[in-house]
Amino acid sequence: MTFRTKLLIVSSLTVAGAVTIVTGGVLVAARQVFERVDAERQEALLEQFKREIKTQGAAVSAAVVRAASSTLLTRMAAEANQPEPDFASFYTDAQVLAENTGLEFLDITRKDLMVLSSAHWPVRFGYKNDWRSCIECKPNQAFLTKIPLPDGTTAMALAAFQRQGDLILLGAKRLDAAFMKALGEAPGVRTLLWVGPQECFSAGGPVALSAEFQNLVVEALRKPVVSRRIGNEAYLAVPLQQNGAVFGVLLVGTSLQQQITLERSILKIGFWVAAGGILLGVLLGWWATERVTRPVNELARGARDVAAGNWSAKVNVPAGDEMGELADAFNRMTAELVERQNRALQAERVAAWRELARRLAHELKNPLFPLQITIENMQRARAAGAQEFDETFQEGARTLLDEVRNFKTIIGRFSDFSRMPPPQFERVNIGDAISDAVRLYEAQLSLNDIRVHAQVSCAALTIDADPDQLRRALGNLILNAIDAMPNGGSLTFSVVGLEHAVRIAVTDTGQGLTEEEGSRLFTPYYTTKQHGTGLGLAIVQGVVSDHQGTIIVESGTGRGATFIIELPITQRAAERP
Amino acid sequence: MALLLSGLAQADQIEDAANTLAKKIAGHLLSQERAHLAVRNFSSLPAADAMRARAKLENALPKHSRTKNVVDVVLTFSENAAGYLWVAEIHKGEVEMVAVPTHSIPASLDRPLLTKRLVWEQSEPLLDVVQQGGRTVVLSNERVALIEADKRSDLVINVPRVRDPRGRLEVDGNTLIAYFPGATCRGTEEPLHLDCDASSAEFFLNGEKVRFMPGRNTIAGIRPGDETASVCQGKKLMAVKENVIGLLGPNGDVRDTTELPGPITALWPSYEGVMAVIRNPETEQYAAYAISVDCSSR
Amino acid sequence: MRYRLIAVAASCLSAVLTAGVLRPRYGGMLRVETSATGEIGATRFAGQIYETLVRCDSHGEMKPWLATGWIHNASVGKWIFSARKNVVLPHETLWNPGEDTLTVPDTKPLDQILVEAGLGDKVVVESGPFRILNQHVGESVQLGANESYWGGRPFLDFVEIHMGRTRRDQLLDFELGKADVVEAEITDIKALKQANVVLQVSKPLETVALVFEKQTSSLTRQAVALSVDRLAMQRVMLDKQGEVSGALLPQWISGYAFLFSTAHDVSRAKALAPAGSTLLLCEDDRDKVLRSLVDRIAVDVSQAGINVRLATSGCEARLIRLPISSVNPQQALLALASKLQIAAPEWASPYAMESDLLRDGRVVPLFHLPIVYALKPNVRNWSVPCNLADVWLEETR
Repeated sequence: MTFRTKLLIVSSLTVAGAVTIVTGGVLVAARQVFERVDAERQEALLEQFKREIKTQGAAVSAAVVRAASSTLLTRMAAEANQPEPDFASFYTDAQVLAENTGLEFLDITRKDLMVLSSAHWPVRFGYKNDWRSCIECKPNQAFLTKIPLPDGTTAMALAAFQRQGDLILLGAKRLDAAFMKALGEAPGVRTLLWVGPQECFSAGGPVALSAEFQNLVVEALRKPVVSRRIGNEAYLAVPLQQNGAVFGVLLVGTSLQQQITLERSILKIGFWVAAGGILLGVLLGWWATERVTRPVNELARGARDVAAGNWSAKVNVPAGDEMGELADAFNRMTAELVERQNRALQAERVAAWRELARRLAHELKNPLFPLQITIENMQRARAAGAQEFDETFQEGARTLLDEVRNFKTIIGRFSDFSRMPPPQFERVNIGDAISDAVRLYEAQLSLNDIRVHAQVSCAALTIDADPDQLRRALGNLILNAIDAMPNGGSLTFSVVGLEHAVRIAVTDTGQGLTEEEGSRLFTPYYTTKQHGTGLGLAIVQGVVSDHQGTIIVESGTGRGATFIIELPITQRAAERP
Repeated sequence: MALLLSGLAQADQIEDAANTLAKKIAGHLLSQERAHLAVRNFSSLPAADAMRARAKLENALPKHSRTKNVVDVVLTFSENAAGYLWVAEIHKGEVEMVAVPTHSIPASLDRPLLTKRLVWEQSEPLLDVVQQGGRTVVLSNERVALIEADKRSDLVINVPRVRDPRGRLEVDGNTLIAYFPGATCRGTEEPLHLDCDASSAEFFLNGEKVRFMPGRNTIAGIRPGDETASVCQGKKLMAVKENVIGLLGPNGDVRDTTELPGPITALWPSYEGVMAVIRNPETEQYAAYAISVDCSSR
Repeated sequence: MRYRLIAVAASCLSAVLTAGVLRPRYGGMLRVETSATGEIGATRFAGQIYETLVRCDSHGEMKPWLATGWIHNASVGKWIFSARKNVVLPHETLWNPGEDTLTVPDTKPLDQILVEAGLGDKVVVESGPFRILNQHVGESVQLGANESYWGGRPFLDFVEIHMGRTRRDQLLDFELGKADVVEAEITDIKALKQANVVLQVSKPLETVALVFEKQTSSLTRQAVALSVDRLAMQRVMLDKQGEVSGALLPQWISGYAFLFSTAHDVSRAKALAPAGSTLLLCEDDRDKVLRSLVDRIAVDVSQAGINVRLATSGCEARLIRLPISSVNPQQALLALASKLQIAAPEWASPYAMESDLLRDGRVVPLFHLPIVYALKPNVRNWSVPCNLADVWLEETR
């Protein structure tokens, strides 16, 4: 991660964190205000619910009193006292009374609560009334109860009872959507009455409760009051109890829409402030980092140039600060390096010239000695007489010509090295090339008791090469090996095909090379031998180089030497004939 | 239980039918077993005919007075569209059926009439009275009396006291069984003898097995005041007021009533209808009235 | 029963004598409504159109009808029926049955042969006192008098029968004057009597029974049968009409109906009911009485710990009305088996056959109900079971 990136991240986080803290604080404060207001509204609705229960309860109680004092019930009470009361005649009485009094639920029972007639569940006669939950309640006192219905569900109702002779009349009105409507919900407030797992209603009618609501109800059945936020509403769940029994749960929900809108506005502002802060931070950071990182990048570029060999590389950083001093130091370092390199090159060049002079002197001195002797012999023969002179002259002329020829050869070699022509590529079989080269030097090899081995992995291995130059290079390596093995030995050629090249290894069993000798081996005019021009291996390297190949030597004193040449199989088309 | 069905045609066929049915019942009894008959009349067969049929049947059944292996047989005088049908349920855990076809039906009948006849009167609380042949067996709280013509034998019995005493008497030939709440006495008429044990044994009431609740005045399975006697076809006799016996039709409508001179203290099914025991408040006497139903007249 | 017929005849005679000049009148159209559905041949009116060799009389005995008698030919091992001579078929052709039609192998008891012949196993001929003029199956049938009926031309010219009508709709049509004879609910008897409607209440001729599907467990069926309080329902909901019963056939037909238990034992039912057992009970919205009975059964059964749910389809048990089509117990039982689509019992005594039908507890009889007909005052001689040939319409003034 770059310094700039790090700097940008840190500045962005700082801005975002600050904005978040401020926004959160504002949100919490706003929420607390809203919650206080909601709690007041819920409390008011609960009070309203209790008042409505009282009002409705009084209405139910009045209706029950009316029903109990009706002539129908008086007749029933009289008939029920007969030794053999005709229960069939009671069957529909409760329905008639319920219709007359507007009670939704009405049971007429004996003292033991056995139902004689039921309005809402007529077929339940003969069984005990099971919704007289309020045993201690007095007549005229309404109570909450749950009334089982024929379909297996229950209805929550406000009930009251009255006695008439030996009969008990129980009447009730359902707490349903109409009742909830009577509560008169304020805007933003929603009231739900949960009566049973399958029954819940609001002022608008039955409501199917989601799992969240069901969990709230379950909790409310265990605790006195539970509040929870569900969706966009905050709910207060209050269990409705009578004599310790829970009959239902009243759920008062207040809309959180205003609160949510405010919270969203705060969040939106916070977001834009954070975004603006981060953008500003980025721009400032960019500017700052640009000032810091540009000289560093310049230095890095300079260092990369130096690594690539451009020792004269310089960095252009304005002076005046630490980065400027660093740049100056870098520039001084590269200038010094260039100077040292120039000095080293000059010294090497002088050394090369010296070596060349030594070699030339050595090469030229050898033929000069016979020339000198011959001329001296010819001078002595002149002095001795004509016949002896003729004989000596003839022989001396021959020697002189030989040495002149020798001179020419030496000069030709130097001339050839300086004027090595560019290779003329054609498809050359490596094996054939090695065979040709060995064949040229067969006599010398044999004379020096050197055995030749060839290990060619593929006989048909061909490459793009100049056959003459290749033979010449191989010949030089053979000659080098002959020189290295004056007491005989073995010379091994091995050829291995690589993916795009061939590797030719020429190994002798001579005395080997020292490390220093190895490092200078391919330097022109350098030789470890007392004779020769020192151009042989330089020519080999020149040929290999012209063929886009490489040559290395692996050796050690007393371990022989191996020259490894790698030549590409194909040359670029432009270079081929 | 074995079921034996027999149809009866005319009054003079009663004896033949009874003999046939008795043979078939006997076919299900082992040599050591004795049938104990409980009779109910669901048909329009006149009470007199029903009594006669029962007597004939009892006579025709094999007698093993010493054996204790008693097999309960509930005989129902029933009727279908083809005529009378006698159904005997032999409580032996097996099912069999015997039919006696019938082809004619006695004179039409529809509305039975109730008649009452004073059977016995005494100052001591009276529990049950059974008349058989010329003999009357009277069950009181602490004694059993056998009256035959002018001769009277009394046997004092010792059973747990109950504040509202009740008792049921069964006379089957010479066998005498008295059921009390918490006690049962078995013995013979001749000589008059009873052995009591402290258990409320079961007895038949309208074809159902019932028993007194020990220490109480109630009968297991019957609500107080619900004592009835099934007579004729689906009709029943029961107390409709504290001193009135009514004949109720199948739909519970009262067909006929008969008033008694005091509140009814006991009401037991009998051959001809019911035996009602009352306490006359004026004379302070207990009296037993035999209420019979004439199913054969309108 | 014979004595009852005499009583009815006597009352009719009395009515005639009181009126002085009233005699049965020929002509007119009788409009009848019924809740029965399907082919007319499967209803109580079938006998007015189709006839069999023998018929069951009011005592349950099989009597000659299209056959005038039967003799046993021991040498060929057959019962041979003799055909009535003057039976006219719809196209005014004389009924002339082949010899094969009138002979039955004597491999079965004669009683069984006669009962099966009465059920139409051998011969069913469209030779009744009325002929079908027009039929919309399950909706309406128009019958016309068979002028050549061997038993004498019926009094009525036409009979129009509307089928599949709920009893409520029938009563409405009756009050609007659209029908002369309708079936009334037994629970409406009191109200109709108060309204001075002429009612004809038959003996119990209908069995109300709970029918379970095969897959219901035997224990559940037993528990349901024990938990149902028949008596309470009959006394209160059926207005004390009909009879409580555990038998398929009413007591007046079989004489042994009391042998089948009607015990109401909730504690035993509780012990029998498999834990967590449920019952999907179907209710027929069209039948007010059955619907209320089903509601009560649901209450009763739930006391036994069985979770009852009411539905209109996919039910495990349903409450149905089974018409008793014959006074002959065996014939009635075979017809019931056919109606219930259960295997007919082996021929035996009526009690054995009925026990056989009820053995697996798939059918739990609850009540025997009478059929109640509301009649317009001018409808004379209406009888149950229906004999339309003797019905006549008094001329309205």
